Amino acid sequence: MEKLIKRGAEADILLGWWGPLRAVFKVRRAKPYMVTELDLKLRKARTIREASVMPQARKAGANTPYIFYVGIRTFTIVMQYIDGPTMKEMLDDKPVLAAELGRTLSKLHSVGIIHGDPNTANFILSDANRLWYTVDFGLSFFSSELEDIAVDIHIVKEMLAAQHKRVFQEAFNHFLTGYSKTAGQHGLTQILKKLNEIERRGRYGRQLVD
Amino acid sequence: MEKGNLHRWVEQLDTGMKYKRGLGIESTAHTFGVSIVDERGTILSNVKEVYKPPSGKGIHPREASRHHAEKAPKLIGDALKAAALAIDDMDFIAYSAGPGLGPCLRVGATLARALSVYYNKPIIPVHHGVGHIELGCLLTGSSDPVVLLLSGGHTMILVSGIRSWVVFGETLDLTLGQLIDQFGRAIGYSSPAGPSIEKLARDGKKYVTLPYVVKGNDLSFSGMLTSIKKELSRPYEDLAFSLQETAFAMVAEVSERALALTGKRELLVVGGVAANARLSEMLNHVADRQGAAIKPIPIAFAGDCGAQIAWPGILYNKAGISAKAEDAFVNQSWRIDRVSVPWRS
Repeated sequence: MEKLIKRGAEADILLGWWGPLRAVFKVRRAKPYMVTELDLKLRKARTIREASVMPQARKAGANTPYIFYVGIRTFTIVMQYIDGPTMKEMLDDKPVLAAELGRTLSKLHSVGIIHGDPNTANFILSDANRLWYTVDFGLSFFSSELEDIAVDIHIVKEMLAAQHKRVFQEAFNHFLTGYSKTAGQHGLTQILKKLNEIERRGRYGRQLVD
Repeated sequence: MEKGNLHRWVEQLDTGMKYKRGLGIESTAHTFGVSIVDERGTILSNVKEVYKPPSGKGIHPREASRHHAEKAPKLIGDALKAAALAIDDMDFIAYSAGPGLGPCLRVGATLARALSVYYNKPIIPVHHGVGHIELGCLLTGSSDPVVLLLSGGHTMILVSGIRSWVVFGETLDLTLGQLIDQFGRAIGYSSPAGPSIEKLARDGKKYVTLPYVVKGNDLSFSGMLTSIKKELSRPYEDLAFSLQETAFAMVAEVSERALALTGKRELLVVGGVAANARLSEMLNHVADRQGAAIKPIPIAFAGDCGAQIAWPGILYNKAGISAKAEDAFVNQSWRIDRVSVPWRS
């Protein structure tokens, strides 16, 4: 009945119907390679987290699909289907779209939502109403710590460099411009300072040097 | 007789003159390795000695560098002898210029500079991580893989960029190798503790909950180390088991994300931790689920070795790149994404 349209790293995305409505079934299936306790814990936590953050994100001004049903025991969320291209498919031709990503992310951050996976693949331009929708809140959490906000931005930067390498610099600049619209120049400066600190943190060489 | 001589001469011309070859010296941490590789990718020799710190201790940079300096002359000789070549037959001298432990790196760099100046050979500084990746590509025949780099100093997922390797995801604090070594030290093993922990983990039964931290494509292990150190009253087998299960699952998840998001069809796992059987098992599942091929590296070349320096040396040499002896420094914290890799696009 439901058709598998995408197999992500942590969930299968199926397309089906919820009554008369087109719906996405996001099912977190067991991972055969993971120890059962850990697998169950993660799937449950992420299902609950995603389902609870999505409405909050909408309140903050980021469009998210409506949730129809949450199955804690089946690790399933049924939600509104947003039909349209992802930003991942469009950004290389139109780097200015990254500004939209920046605006959305700063709206989320302003109410203490850390997306946790701000990937261009998680932003969909709805064919129906031409609005950008944010999806995949499985790694999201609530925090207003500068550290967590800066890590979210770090993920964006890394992701743009790896997935959109030819337009990376331009796209990241647009992203920052978009971000500062809501966060303000001062807020952005603080975050970039923290970002710099995170990027310098001993990840490069070995840390055992005397 | 004459014919035999001629034949030998032609053969010499063929193998001896036609193919470039160079000497690579690896000395970033525990291992001092020397290898000779030719431009066809044939590893003509690959010898090494590994410094072993006293049990319960980490690597002491000064002691390790002393070990390297003692072993170096013999290993250079052994590598040449095994390849039946003289140093004069080399087209270049390559050395690991970082990242790593300063005193250890300097042993290799000093030796490389001396050989380069005395024998008038071009000198080529090579990034240790790039060495792991390029040797991995050579040995497995991968062309455009998602790379999981798990050496002592790196826990990274990379994809090829424009004349460089681009970081897709990485640890925000400790590397996987450091996590394992530091846990190992806490329970009395010397570094590198990977093989001992792996063995211990096989007898683990009870899973102890540890923090599982994945942020986007990034990982964080520092919380896990703190929390496992508070559980040391439990059986070490269970702890080793839980540490591996949790840390490896994190690595597996971000690897799967990388495959799903890039759509690439090869997963290359390099670095010392790649030798772990449980991790390989998990990554096999991951590759399967994403329809990708995982190509194992021969164990002998998974850890640090001279060949990982000599082979990129060949690639740089072909691209016409070398350094001046006076610029052939070491860089203890050389970022892999700042390294120019002209043969990748």
